[in-house]
Amino acid sequence: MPVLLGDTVLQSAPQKVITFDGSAGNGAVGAVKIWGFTGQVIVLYVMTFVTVSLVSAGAATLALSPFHSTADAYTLLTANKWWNKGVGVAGVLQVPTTDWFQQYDDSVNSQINMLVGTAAITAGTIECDAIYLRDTPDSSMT
Amino acid sequence: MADLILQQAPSKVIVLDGTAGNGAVGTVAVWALNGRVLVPYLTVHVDADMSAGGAATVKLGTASQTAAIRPSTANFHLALAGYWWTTNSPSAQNDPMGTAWFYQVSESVIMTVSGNNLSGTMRFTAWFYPLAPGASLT
Repeated sequence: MPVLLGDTVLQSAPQKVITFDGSAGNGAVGAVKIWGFTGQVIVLYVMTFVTVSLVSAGAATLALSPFHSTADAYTLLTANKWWNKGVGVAGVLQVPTTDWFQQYDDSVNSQINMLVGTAAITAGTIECDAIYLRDTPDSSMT
Repeated sequence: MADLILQQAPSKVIVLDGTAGNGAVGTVAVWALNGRVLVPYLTVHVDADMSAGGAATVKLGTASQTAAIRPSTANFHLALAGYWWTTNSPSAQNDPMGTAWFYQVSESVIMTVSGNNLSGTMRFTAWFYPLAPGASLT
């Protein structure tokens, strides 16, 4: 008799609105936390939408490893555009399939960050969405 | 964290007759957008033969990216009822989806007609995930 597997429902991570102000963990050179997670999750898809253009007094760059692992100049990220590595477009964006399906284990790395490089980002807003599957019971993105 | 349920946008059967906003050179409204959505699957089916007084092309996208969902396609490639519009040269009546899937959408979806006025019938179907409560294609 075959083993019946349970229904699986995709999960949406809580939407995170990142408003940069240049402070530590929020625009200074280094990491900006987007999501934490518990257990093991498979992140199918991450979407980032710029609602307010980014500002920097220097040549700031921004990456979202491993999804957008290319460090893009902050000037690419202007209002009302989807952001993916090297691309900022209004209206509609089709993301390369190479960006899909990242596997996470909280025993190794328990959060997903953006990485600010070279100079601080002092203003601007990015809204972040993600879709994931639980790989272990009660695992989640938070 | 919340369960994410795939939603189906209202299917749009658009009978093009060559009039303004409905097949004349210019744009044809397909879906209005509220908020932002992820569209994993979107299909366009030719229900009735597409014809034009001369060479015409159509493309599907949004105001900012007019050909991001379907590339500019000569009407003669869509001339036969039963064809699926997936690439710029649909060649069979059971065309595979290929890479024409998973679109992040932040503007209403429109079709753009160029060259000559177009007649025929197309049926548009899409499934989406809302990226905020109440986000939708209507």
